[in-house]
This record gives sequence, structure tokens and C-alpha cells, in this order.
Amino acid sequence: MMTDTSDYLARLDVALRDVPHGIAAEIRAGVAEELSSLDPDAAERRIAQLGDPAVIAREAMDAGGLVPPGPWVPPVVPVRSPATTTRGFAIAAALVLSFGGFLVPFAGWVVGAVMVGLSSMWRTWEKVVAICAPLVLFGIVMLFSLAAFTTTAVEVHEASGTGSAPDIANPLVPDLFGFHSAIILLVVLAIPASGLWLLWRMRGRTAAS
Amino acid sequence: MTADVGAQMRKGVVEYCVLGLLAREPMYGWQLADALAAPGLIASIGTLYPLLGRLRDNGWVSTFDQPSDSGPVRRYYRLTDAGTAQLAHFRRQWKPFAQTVSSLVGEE
Repeated sequence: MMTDTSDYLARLDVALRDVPHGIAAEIRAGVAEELSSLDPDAAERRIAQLGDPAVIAREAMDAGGLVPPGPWVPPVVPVRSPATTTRGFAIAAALVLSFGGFLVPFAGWVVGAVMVGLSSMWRTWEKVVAICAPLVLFGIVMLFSLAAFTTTAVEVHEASGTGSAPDIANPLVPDLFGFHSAIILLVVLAIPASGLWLLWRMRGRTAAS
Repeated sequence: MTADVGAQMRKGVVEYCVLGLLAREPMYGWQLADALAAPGLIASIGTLYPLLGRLRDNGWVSTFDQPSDSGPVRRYYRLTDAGTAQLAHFRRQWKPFAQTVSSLVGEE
């Protein structure tokens, strides 16, 4: 039976020749240590349990190629940029959208629109409504104003071709108490209203991260 | 990819299972091999010694020789202070991590 042990260790030595020396020596010493502590019958069963030396060597090569473990950290899900996911950023974005244009005409509103676009606190359709509604309203008002002006001008020419134009207020010149002033005021109010609407929409929502 | 899910999970935790075993008592190679092979955490003794080598290189385990009752001098592995700290770090994170994964994947 000692022959079986010696034979097995000899086969193991051959199989381990390509395994890094330190690991091969450890495996060899561990197996020899175990087999030498057993009586011949138990050693024979242990050899059968150990299996083919070539398999042991292959597994040692595979295991030796693993990256050494560093401090264990559970996998984390990548998160979006935290600055744009906070409630504070969203509130600031809505306020800049509302009033930034009054502090720095147009550019302030553009900055607010960009901040609203970056924030993750609102759904896409909410952002689109808040940013586009004042623009669309402004566009509609301008179209109506131009149409009214054009119609008035045509009527003057078709009436007689001469004479002076009727005493109608120029739509491009604000009339403090007139229809056009009311429309322009509505557009101006729509801008802060859009930001305040965004603040109302985000009530009860929590930051994404 | 799916066929190797078990192997990948074993690779991720087997070092810490060794630290857990050694936290109970110093053990020699064959003891560790038996304890890890029975639940399928290692395939054979060929997997164990490279693993022990990495743990020793990290300073998480150390060895000492001790004569056995049956004759040969055995090489025992025991946890170092750094290994104990590493195991404690893993224990703190393992339970919430496992609970999170379980809640996400559900049960059959």
C-alpha cells in the first residue's frame, strides 16, 4: 500500500510540474501529509477520493489564475449624477425657469429650461409642457397680432385707396388697458406659472437616488 | 453564462467561507478541503491551496506546524487580526446584500 501512496505522489509530482512552484509544493505537502496519517486501506480510499492528479493540477492552474480577492464590496447599481437628482436642484431649476428671465432677460429663462431638462424629478412630458407652453402661447399671440394688423391694413386700402387710416391702435404698440396688453401680460405670467406648476407637480416625489 | 452562475457565486464567497471556518478554530488543509467540498464550494484540493495562498498573501491567514496524534506534522491555518476584521466586514454586508438579491429575484 505504501507503493500506492508513493505511486500517487509521483504521479502528482508529474502532473504539478506546470503549476507555480509555491502552489505545487503546498498541494504536494498537503496530500503527503494526509496520506501519511492514514493506514494503508484508508490511504487507498483517500487516493480514490482525491482523484486524478491531472485534474487536481488543472484546477490548481485555473484557481491560481483568479484575481486575488480585495475587500469585499457588494455590487452597486450605477446611479445618475446625484446633483441633478436631488429635490434641491429641482426646486432651483423651477425657480430659475420662473423668475430667471426677469433677472436676466431671456438668458435666465434658458438656464432655467436647461436645469429643468437635466433634473430627474419630472417626467419628460411635464418638462416639455413647462418649457414649451409659454413659447407656444407667445407664438399664438404674435400670429393673432400680425393677422389683425394685416387685415386692418388691407381694409384701409380696399375701402377707397385714399384717406387716412382708421383710428385703430397699433397691435405692436402696447395699450395699457387694451386687448393686446392683456395678452402680453398673460404670456409674461405664463412663464412663472410654468415653473410654479412644476413645483406643484413634484409634490410628494422623492429624489431618484 | 447561465451555466456558470453557481461557479461565479462560489468564486465570490469561498474565500470568506474559509475565513468563517478558521474563525471557529485553526484547521489543516484536508479539514478545510472536506468542509468546503461537501457543500460544493470547491471542486478539489487543487482549488484549495491556491485559495489559501491568496489569503496568506493578503495577510488574512497565517500557518503554523503542529504534530498530530496520528504521526505527521500538520500545517494548520488560522485567522490573523486582519482576517478577523475582513470577515467582520463581510458579515456586515452579506446579510443585507443577500436579502436584497432574494427580494429581487424572488423564490420558485
